[in-house]
Amino acid sequence: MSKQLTILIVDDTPENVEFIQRFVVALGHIGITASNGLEGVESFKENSPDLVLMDVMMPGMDGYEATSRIKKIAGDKWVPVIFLSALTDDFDQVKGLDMGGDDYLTKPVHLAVLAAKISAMQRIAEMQKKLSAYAAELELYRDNTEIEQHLAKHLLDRIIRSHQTDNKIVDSWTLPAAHFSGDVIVSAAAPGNKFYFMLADATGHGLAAAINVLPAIEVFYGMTERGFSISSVARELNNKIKLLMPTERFIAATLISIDMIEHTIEVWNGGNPDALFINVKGEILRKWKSSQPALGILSDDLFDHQPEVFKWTEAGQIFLCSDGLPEAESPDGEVFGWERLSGILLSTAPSRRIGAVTEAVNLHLKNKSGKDDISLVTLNCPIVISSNIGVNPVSKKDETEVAAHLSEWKLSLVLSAAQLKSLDILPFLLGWLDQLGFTNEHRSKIFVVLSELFNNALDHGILHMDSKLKAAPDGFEQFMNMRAERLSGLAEGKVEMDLEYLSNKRNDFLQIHVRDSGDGFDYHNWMKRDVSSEIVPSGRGIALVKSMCSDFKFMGTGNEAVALYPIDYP
Amino acid sequence: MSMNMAHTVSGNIASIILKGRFDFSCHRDFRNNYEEILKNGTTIDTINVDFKEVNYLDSSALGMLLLLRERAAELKISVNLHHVHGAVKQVLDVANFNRLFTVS
Repeated sequence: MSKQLTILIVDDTPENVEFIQRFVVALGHIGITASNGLEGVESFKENSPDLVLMDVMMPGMDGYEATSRIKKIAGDKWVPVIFLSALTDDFDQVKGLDMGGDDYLTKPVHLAVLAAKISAMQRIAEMQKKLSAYAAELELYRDNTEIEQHLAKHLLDRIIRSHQTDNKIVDSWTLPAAHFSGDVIVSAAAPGNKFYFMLADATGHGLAAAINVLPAIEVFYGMTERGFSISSVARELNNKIKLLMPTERFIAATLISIDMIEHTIEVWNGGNPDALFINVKGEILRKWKSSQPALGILSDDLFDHQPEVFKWTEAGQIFLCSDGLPEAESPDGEVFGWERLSGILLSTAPSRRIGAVTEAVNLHLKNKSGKDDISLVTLNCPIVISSNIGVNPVSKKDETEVAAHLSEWKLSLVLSAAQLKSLDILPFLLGWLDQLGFTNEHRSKIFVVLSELFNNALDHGILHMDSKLKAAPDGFEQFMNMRAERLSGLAEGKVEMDLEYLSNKRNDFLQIHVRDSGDGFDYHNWMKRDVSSEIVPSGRGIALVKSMCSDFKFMGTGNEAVALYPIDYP
Repeated sequence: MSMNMAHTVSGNIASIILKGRFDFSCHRDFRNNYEEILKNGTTIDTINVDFKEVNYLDSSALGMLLLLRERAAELKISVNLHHVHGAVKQVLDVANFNRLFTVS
């Protein structure tokens, strides 16, 4: 241990200074001197010594004042100061150490002791330097981490913003934790006048959470756009997250599909707090509990992707939140809790609910942020009168005119029980239509027509469902549950679909022909009814199809339906 | 330390006893405890995790339990969660962990 130190000796007695300096040099160090406090401080500034031997009693600035100033100048670097003083009282020693000195030796100085003290100080200084270096490295890592956090959040925000469009349905508020903690709110319009929504809460914080949730967002937007059912989206999300993420990472999610015209809601909740349907008065009409583990945990064969359905008969709001809300802890450790939340929701008008909860949370947290992201969302579900469908019926064409059209292409699909059970048919078809170049306007209308005809064929022809069931209270839910049951147990049945493009280069048609293997029904009488004037739970679909197509008819025993969708060239 | 942890083995049943807050800071300890147990994995067929004195559980704790489940499954050992109560039970309920473990 023989590193050479620069030692500053401050004493107003020249003999003392010389004596100590000679000793210090003999030990192998460099000695620099100052004859009073002021000089000592100046010398320290100029020479940056490694150790200071300071006399206490000096004229002008004494040793205490000089030490205090030197310590300030040294700043973060620890430079030991040893007092060498003639004052022998314990009181003086205590004072010296209290005033900032690191050690205190009384004069006359015992040189062996001084040598030992210098070595000891040297060891401590080395240790301190190492710790400083670690601290600096840590600072660097922390700074880098901050940058990465921001980058991840930035990317996430951009992806979401690029997909979001204005809508009057979603209202939300998020209070992020100090570091992004995995809460994400996304929504998109789906073909067939549906609205899809997801509240996701990924495990972890910062970069980890953002990475966890990015693939989920992309899957959500992609599948929504292509018309997949919420059930398929849940399944694909689960598989993807299980595949990509480590075991201990998962995403709690609430997936919602709303049909604003039919007034139906499908909800899949895995791992999030209850979603609620609250009417204007504040009564809870429906609760959707988390009925399965979060996404990314169960293997596909054990995963239940069936959503729970609800049909609203009076206007209301869906309310959801991430677990950060009920678990939000105030500075004195009290949680926000469900009771408080329910109380606010039930006693506040729908348009004020988000505002009221926001206020309460900020009050509870005393305007600080929590450990976890806090998200709340309301989705507006008004009553929409559906009789404005069919207001602009398309001009009808007669058969001979259409016959003059050439068939440009034809897509035929035959689906038997196995496919009907497991495939999401409609996005599959929509995918073909995308490939074949149908624009957005046609795309969504054709999707509605395909949807109606296919679902009719499946529901009535194959699954033998009775639409009258939907009219009963809770009937829609029962209908959907029974349908799901019958579908999963389906052993026989066939649905054939032909899409044929008829063109004469002036006006074109897409002919959609759906045939099921069922018994059909007596359609002659049924068609005579004017369904557009009734709010009929089951007939509305065909009325909608008729309003969008130049022609529509049933054929065969009622197990075939043909629609002619017009595509006019400008 | 916000959590005390210990494990015992009795015949073919191992128990991990947790006390306090089960959160991210317990990560290393928890793993050390179950890896110790799994070293003698061939003689054990059940691991019971005791929550009697646990007052707090967060999503990182859920993650740790999932890791334990995976490791134990490799050696055909079943994992049970015992004496869950209060806030801990609520979190496990919402997470539907009764589908993944026997919870009591």
